[in-house]
Amino acid sequence: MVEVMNIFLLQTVLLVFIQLFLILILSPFINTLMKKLKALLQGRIGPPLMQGYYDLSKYFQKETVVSNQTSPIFLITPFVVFSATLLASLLVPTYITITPLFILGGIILLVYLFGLARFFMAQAAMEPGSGFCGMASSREMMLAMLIEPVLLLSLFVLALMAKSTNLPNIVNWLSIQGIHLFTPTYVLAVIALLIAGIAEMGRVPFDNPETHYELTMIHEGMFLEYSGKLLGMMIWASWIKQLLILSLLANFIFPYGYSASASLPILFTGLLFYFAKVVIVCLIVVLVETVIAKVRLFRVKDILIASFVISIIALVISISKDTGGLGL
Amino acid sequence: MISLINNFLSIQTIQQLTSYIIGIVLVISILMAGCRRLETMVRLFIFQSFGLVLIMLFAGAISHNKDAFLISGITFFGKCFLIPWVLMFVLQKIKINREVETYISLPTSMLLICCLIALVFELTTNIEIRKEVHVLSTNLLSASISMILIGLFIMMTRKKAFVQIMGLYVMENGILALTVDTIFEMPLVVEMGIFLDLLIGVLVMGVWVYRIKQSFDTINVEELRKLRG
Repeated sequence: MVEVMNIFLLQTVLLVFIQLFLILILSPFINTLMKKLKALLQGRIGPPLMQGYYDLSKYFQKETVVSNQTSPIFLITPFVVFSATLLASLLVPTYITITPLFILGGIILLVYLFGLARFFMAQAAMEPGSGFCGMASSREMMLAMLIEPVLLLSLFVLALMAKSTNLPNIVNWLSIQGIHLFTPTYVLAVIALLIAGIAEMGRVPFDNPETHYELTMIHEGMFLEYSGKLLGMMIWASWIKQLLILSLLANFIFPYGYSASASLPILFTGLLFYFAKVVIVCLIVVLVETVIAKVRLFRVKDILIASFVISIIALVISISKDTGGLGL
Repeated sequence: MISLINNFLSIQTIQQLTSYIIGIVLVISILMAGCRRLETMVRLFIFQSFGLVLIMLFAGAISHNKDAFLISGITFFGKCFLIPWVLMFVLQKIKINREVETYISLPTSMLLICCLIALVFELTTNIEIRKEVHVLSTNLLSASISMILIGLFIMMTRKKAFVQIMGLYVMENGILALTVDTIFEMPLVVEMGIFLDLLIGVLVMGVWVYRIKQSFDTINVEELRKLRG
């Protein structure tokens, strides 16, 4: 009994380390890659592919300056945000269908870990008393209120199809369906999830990650008063979150190519497949960004409600049993 | 034509495609209730009609009905080209593009329509209509009833005369889908009659909207009260 426990523990620890290493290393690269792809599509040259790592090393060498008007929450927040995001990263399947900490919980825990990080971020942005930070945090909370139901509902539709709210089970179920996977319910749910995911990442139709104008920033606006190492942690956390949502979308859109056994070449092909899937989803997101202009803040709710409607229709179609001559 | 479709597509593929199109048509009808530009509304109407044409072709191929191809041909010609063309022409004439005025805000009306659809799906699955009429698919039945209700909703909640006409067309598409679902129990003559009605309707209403615009400088039906002295 003790032996089995030990092996299980060892396996979990190993998986945790691989997953953390993968996510931490890959997230700055993917962010730079998206910037580069967008630049290429717009006919610019764009940053070098290592720019994310240069930025991070710069942030971690700089001195941290904190306003003397703030409470300890301002100092705690980067750690809470970073650790909540890392914990979330252990719940998302990447190169294999199992995740290190699937015992802890599924989609609900994932969405609310993001919620926790967001709550602390909005709280800390109020601390220094800067007008722009407060405005950004109030906007972020408005967006969060609209995104959360869409994200949860579309994930619930997929969970209803797979009859489990655990992400490994859902992805596993999707990967064994083959051609029968492409039902209207699945397609509509994935479309709604794509819209909600883009909103959650804070990308173009909803928020512009590249803006440096305080009045238009939403997500970035909340870090305005941070500097040095703390800023580095906040930015790294948001990159990790972006990678997590991208891999979630990649796993739902292309549920193929997971490594099935623990041998080294198979693990390697699994990693390669994972990377390719994430890059394809990046390309989709970047194409959307290039084609669509950012919408006005008060129009954002229209898009999100449309995607909410799409996920409700997916739910309705999945629940209704079709009895007719066609036998659909 | 029947053998052509049956040769290329197996029955399972047809069923899958039809269930996709039903989903897409439903989403399009909701987006029509939620979009702000009048031109986009007409374009969405074209896509909706095209989806119905495909459903009709597939249903005809499955039930071996020759009338289906005639009706789908007429629908394709009329609803994907002729009626949208007249509507676009009217839009250019009255020079109003992006003003949709409503009694209920657009997001609220989309959410209300969502509730409506959920209710319709719940009811049509529960009443077991299959015992009464032979239907092709209960999902298509629910979708067509929801489309009729969505059209009615659009007509009720909008202030502009043009959008009310679009609501009428959504309603008519719903009725068409209902005919398809009961495997063309409606005779061909009636179908042709309805189509002629719509065609004359769009011409008359186009002229009517244009005249309203000329006399009152607006197509807001609330302003028509000015007629009373």
